[in-house]
Amino acid sequence: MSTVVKAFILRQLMDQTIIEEALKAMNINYKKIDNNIVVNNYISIEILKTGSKLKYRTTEFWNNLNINQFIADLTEIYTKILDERIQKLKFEELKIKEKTYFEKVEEEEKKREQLEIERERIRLEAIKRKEEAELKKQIEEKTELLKKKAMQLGYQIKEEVHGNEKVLVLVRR
Amino acid sequence: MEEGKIIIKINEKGEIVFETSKIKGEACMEEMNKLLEEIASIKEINKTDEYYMKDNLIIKTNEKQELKK
Repeated sequence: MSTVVKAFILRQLMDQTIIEEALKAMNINYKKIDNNIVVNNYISIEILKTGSKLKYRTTEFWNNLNINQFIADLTEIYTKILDERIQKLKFEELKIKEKTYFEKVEEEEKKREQLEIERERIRLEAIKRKEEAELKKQIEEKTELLKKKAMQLGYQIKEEVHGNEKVLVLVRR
Repeated sequence: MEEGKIIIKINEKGEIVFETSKIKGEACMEEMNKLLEEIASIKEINKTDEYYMKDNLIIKTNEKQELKK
């Protein structure tokens, strides 16, 4: 004959909200009185700054086995809820990271588009400046050519400048 | 005595206004063609009443158009 005892190490449960959630999951009614979560006349959990402290007294109804069973169930469910919460938060954290990543990519894409637009504007402005310089040169050359032709056709030429306008007065007598 | 007078205005955009006086209609066109050939492309011609009396003509050209060709 041998006896097998399944035991567990008593430990503090440090989050009050999870303790309460675990009790609800176990369908156990409780009251909060001062710093205590009172389960019934025989068992209460004192919430300390560093964690919880289980207070109980044995009775015929709540014998050691029942209380041990209660602690085991509470601990198991508490641990499960704690793990679930951590997993949920990890997932939310990942979602935010993913969102931040896409926002960053989008932001970089916008910056890239803005740079491309700016580069294209600078390119076209440079072309415009080049064309304006070329036009100025052409105006000078064509004006000289015009004067030369006019002289060949027997015109006398008077040249005037009015603001940005050049005026050639050709007279043939 | 003047046989003919032509006023040619050229602005910084390369636009040319060509005004003639005392040159008869067809002769006016010929004179204009001789002067503007290889220099400018004609954009529009506004013939004045005098032109139909074979005397006068106003022509606008666009230097820029020619440059682009």
